[in-house]
Amino acid sequence: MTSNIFSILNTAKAGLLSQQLAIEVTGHNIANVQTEGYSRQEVNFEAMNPRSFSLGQLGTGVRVAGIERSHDEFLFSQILGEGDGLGRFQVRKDVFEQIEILLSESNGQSLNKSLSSFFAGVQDVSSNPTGLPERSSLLAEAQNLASTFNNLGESLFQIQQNLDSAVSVEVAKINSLTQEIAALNKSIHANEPTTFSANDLRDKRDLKVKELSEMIDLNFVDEMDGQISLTLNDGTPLILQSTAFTLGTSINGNNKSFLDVVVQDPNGNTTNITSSITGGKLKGYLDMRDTVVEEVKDKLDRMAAGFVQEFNEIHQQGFGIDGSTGNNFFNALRTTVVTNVNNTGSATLTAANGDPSNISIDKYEVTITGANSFSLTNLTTGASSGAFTFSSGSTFNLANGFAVTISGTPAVGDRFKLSASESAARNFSVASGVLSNTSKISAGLNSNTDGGNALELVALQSKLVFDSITLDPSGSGTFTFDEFYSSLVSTVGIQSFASQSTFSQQEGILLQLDTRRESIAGVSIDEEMINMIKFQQAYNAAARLIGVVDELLDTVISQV
Amino acid sequence: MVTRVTNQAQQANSLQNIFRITENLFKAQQEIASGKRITRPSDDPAGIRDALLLRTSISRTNQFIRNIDSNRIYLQAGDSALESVDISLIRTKELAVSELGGLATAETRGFAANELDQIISQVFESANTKVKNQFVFAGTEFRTQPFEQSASGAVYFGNSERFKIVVGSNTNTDFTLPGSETLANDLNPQLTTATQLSSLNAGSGITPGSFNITDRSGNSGTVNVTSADTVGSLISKINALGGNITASINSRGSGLQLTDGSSVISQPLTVVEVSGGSAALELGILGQRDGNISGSDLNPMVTSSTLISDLNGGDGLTLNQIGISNGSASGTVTLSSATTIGDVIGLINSSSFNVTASINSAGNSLLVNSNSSATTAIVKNVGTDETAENLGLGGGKNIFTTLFKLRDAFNNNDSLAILASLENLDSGLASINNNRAIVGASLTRVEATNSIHEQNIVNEFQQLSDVEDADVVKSVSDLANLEFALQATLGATAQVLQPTLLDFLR
Repeated sequence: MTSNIFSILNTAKAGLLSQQLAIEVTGHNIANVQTEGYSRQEVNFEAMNPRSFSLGQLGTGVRVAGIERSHDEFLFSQILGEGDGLGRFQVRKDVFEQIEILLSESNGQSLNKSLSSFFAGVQDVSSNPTGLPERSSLLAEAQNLASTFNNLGESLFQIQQNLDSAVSVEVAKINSLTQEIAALNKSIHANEPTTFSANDLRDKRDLKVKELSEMIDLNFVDEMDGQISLTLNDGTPLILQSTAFTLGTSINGNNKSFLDVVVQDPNGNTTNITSSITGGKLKGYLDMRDTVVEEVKDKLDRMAAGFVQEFNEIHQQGFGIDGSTGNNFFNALRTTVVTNVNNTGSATLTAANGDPSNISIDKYEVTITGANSFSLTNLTTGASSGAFTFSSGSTFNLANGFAVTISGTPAVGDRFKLSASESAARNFSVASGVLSNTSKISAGLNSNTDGGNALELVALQSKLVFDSITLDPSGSGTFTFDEFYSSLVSTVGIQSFASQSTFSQQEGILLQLDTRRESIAGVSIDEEMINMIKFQQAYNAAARLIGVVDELLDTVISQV
Repeated sequence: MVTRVTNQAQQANSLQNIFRITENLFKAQQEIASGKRITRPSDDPAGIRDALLLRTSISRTNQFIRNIDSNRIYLQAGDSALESVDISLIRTKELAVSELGGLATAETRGFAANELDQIISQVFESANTKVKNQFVFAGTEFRTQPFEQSASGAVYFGNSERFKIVVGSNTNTDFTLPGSETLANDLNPQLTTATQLSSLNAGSGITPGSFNITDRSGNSGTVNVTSADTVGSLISKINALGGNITASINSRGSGLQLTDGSSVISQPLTVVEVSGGSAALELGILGQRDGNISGSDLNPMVTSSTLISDLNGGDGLTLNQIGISNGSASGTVTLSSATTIGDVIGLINSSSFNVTASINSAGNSLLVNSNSSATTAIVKNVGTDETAENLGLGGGKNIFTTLFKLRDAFNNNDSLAILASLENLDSGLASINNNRAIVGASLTRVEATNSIHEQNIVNEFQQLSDVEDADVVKSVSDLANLEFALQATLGATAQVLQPTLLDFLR
């Protein structure tokens, strides 16, 4: 005996079922043509084990060996690698756009214009030193200048605060993603007992991992039993198989109470990872909050502080109509002291503004080096400002005018930050003496009525007071206030332009990678249609085979 | 192998293209609507810097033009006032010459004196010219009427400062000449330790009282000012307080200086009045300062002990000879040996011309009068030397003295004095013309500066427009190009996205 009529039926049945399955998979593909992250699935047919007979082996039909998704592991890791850059530069670009709107001359707070109008007001006073209308209008211009500075400083601080809350929102999103991925790890592991792969679950996981890659820098470590492990670039684990490490935030007292990012291990111990995050939106938020916006704000603060100081210094030397001298036009700079939260000693440091006309507007840090000694670092220029000794409880001067008193017992390594320009733009205000009595505006240089001091104030507009970073200590800088401000604006412009173009490059790269991925894993309706026709024809043919067997059986039976 | 082009890839690509084009369209449309090429700093970082600086510059230049436009009236009014004085002097000279003629009698000279009185009132009016409610010839004491008529003639109450106005970057131009340079004299002595407090502030002195000084380390003390104090004794009182304050006369020699030598600085140097006094205010040191207080101009009067070298704000005067004519006596007095005002007065009084010299009521000029009521003493410069003019005795800029003396001469029917006055009238005319030349030159310079500014503004606007304005022709053509591209892309997208094999499987 060589052939069996019923085995043909079996062969036909295998064919029917296999093609039917293929059509079902095609249907699944078509249904998911618009599903993000979906990978096209393909049915692998293989010939069933043949049976042997005297003439050799006879095939027994087809069977489905597996359903595979089209997936390129290398391409996927490339997409992951570019994701953190995209997220980071998207944040940079967005935040720079906000800053630019603030600094834009057409619809923003035009500091340039306020400064010009203010100095025009000073000139008007100089040409009529005793005129009441000129003085009142100068006062109005000064208040306008103050509100421009206030709004700019306030808005920049607002941006920082918004970024701070964005950090905690982003951390929550990351947590929900890592938990989903860990859960998917578990399901994939449970659903892949054999060599079959859980295609759709893997697609879903890949999509989540890709989403996660735009939020934080990711390192794909390995895959065991269908479970992936992800770490940050520096090796901090985020997901180890089915365990997700929860990220959290903690308030950093040394950074204006902004939030730090911490990771919690399963034992509940937390590690601060703020500085080890190197990519993704989270890095973008942290960077912009702590570096870029902070720098713009600091520069604006230094400009405001420099303006208050230089203007007051000249204004003080003059005489008001009422004969008084030494009047401040703007409120003098306030000093701030920030005690490092990690200090172990019991010392307190207080610093008053002893010399508002000369006090350095840079930021300083005092580091205790001994029982009676400390070193001073200029944080603005990054240079050391020398080592000093002190005796507890007695006042001494630092950095041209801080009247500093250290009391209590400090520990070596304790640190304190000093600044006279912190939030100077937000605090910029016209002195109450001048505000309530315009005759205190000191236009006179040698007497109450001459306009000599107003002329000196006018000259301040073109005086070179700034070097590229701060007020020039020697008093002979290279930039005027206007130039310092326009360099601030153009620096923001350059950085913004750079982040825009980096972002669009990054976007372009990802679009290309996506296109590559699509060309491998995407669904083409045309292709599926062809497949459908292909499988339909194959199904028809297999059904026909059954018909033929049926006829054969009829023939046989009718002979009986 | 052929690249598989899938539906999602096609869709993403089409969207990307359409968004790119619509974004550029939006930008082009924005440029056309706003007329500006730069709407945000990143549109052109270097351009925005230029634009900002140009705007500052335009606004400053506009203000300079405004300063010139609204204040050139000072120069114009000053010039017309001097012109009117010039005309008055010419008429006075005609009077003097005609009254020297053979037909002149005591009666005609009486009439001439009456006319001269009218002329003098007119010169007063010119000298007290006001612009925008400010006196033009008062120096920087705008609110003080500079010239007042007194028994001894005209007294000047202004100061010796010129009023300056900003007309260009770091360029200040004089817009007024003080009366002390044009119509009268101001000996303007500087402050010395010997100066009596009672002679300060043009003789108003300092109201006795107390003030409190707190140095920058926080030490404070009270100073009691009495009417007997001199500047020197006041300085000693302040220095004896025991804090870190050192008092002195400031470098200009016009006021007090409080120098703080505190080694630890924790507060401003502060001067406050004690129990409602006004001594500190009158001494020009009331207030607080992050540094040294340099007091205001105390404007001391001249006294007989005032040193010649302290006059003229401390620059001193060089004294040579003055010419005096009194009745039939005339000749010169040599003053070069004088070291104080008292010496000058002594030398003049001990001369053989029967005259008495004195200090005027405001303490800023000297007077010489005849001891006889029948004669008028006339003092004049000798040759090109200006000793008499600089002491305020007569000649040159001392227009009022010249006019008053001539009137007295008319009234006294003193031909010799009238004759002697002619010389002072001539030097007065020369002085007025000289000052008119100075004012005229200022006006010319200001006008020239103004026209340069106006030209600059045009240039800067041009430059600003080059930097930040949109090239509308280019933007419109861009817009047209982009519109075309968008239509083409939309058309192509419609064509590409529509057909699938399904369309052909019916």
